[in-house]
Amino acid sequence: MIYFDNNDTTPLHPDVLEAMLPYFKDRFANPSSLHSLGLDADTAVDEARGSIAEAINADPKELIFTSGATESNNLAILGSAQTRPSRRHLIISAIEHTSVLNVAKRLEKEGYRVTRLPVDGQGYINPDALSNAIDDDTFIVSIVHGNHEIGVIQDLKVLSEIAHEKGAWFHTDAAQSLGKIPFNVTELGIDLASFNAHKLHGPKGIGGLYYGNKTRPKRLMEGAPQEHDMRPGTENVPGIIGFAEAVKIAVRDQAENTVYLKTLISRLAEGLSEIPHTLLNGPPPEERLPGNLNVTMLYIEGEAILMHLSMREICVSSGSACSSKSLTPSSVLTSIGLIHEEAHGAIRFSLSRFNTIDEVETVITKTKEVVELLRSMTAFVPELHSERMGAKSFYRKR
Amino acid sequence: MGYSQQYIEHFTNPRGIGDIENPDAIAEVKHEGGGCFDTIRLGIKVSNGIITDVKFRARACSGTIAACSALVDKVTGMKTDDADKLTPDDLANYLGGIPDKKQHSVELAIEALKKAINPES
Repeated sequence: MIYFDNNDTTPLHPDVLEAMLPYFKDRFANPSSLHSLGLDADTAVDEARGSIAEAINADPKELIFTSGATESNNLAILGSAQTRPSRRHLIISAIEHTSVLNVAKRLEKEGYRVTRLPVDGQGYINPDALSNAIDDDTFIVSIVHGNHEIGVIQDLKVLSEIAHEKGAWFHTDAAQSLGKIPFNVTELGIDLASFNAHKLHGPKGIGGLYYGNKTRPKRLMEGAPQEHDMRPGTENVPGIIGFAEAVKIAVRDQAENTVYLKTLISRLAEGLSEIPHTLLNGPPPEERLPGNLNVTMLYIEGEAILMHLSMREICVSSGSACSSKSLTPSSVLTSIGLIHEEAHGAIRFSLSRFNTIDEVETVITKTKEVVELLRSMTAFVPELHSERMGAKSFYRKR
Repeated sequence: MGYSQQYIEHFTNPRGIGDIENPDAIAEVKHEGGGCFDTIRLGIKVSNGIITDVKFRARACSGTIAACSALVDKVTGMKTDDADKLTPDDLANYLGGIPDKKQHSVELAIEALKKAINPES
């Protein structure tokens, strides 16, 4: 099986599993317990918190553990709205994760103003759009760091400076970027950041929220005062240990992984660009999150490509509507200007350090085979898109 | 629910891909309501009230390809009056059941068939 769906989730790193195992066995205690086993678990959680905080250049007092980035995004935005009730305006981008998009919808229903910043043809936010949208009523600006579908990386330093000029807090969903590209909360001017472990070879069900000491959201759940009194409930100790180990490994190997994945992605992009009427979605490979590639094969349906690749033991994901009940295509892809038929033909390939160049060659060969097969079934041919195709370049303009 | 053996079989080895020479009717349908945009072109040949040949082309997901293929199997040799009475559920049952998210596929295939049988309506 070839697994090219690492922006969805990743396999556990073997060292992460080893680090976690004792906390399922002898070191199982509740960190809130006062006996020696409890203190052992509490110490392990403290060390894990310190290790992750150090990796992002934060104080351990400014980092809590959650169930993942979805919960962190909810807590960051909804909790900040409660901390700053006099401000009633929220700014997000059009290409946020569903958890941010839907939190914005909820606040809108409650009477908040919401601005969704548009992106250009490669997915970048124009800082001027933020300058024009922000005002003294904006309580938070929430912009995803690295996008899960098209791998575009936003310039958070520039955007956070604009937010701060108007006194708004700046939150980022860093679920896809932590461990893959440098992430330093001080350098980027971040007030709040959401993370999870399972995108970087850690376990599922564990993540974190960074918050500055002056940008503390109100807790959303009631209970005991765990996690700096912001997130009640007994800590997921094995998950926390695994999360810290995954971050440690990812940061340690980041430079090496980046070079390696760029080689794989360059070859994959080169190979797929040989398929006629294929377009790259998002920025050029060298500007993207390491390991991410997203292409549209015109005139066929992404879900059908995915299914055929799956039968050839290759796992990818699609931007297609037909893989979900709603049938609406990916809003990220339509936000960068794809018409619905183009968004439906999108396939995301997301690689990790555990993939190989031989796998890339196999995927190129099999994808060519599948695209040819599916195109032989369609009567709806290039003239439909001839104007949009222009020079038929693989690369999209910004 | 997952995909039945019949669904996988029809998707991977679809019957009736192509174009009929001198068809008696061609129907082209597109699923636009929910934003899916699956598109089918279905041609039929009729002789003495019996469907003698069916061929299709599709820019579509696995479900719609499987549904069209099943349709070819089911209606070839059938009286047009009987074929006109087929429902999306009949097609779904023929495929051994389909997941909810593929309901649009059987609906679209039946829409194409009815449009081909009743070109004036």
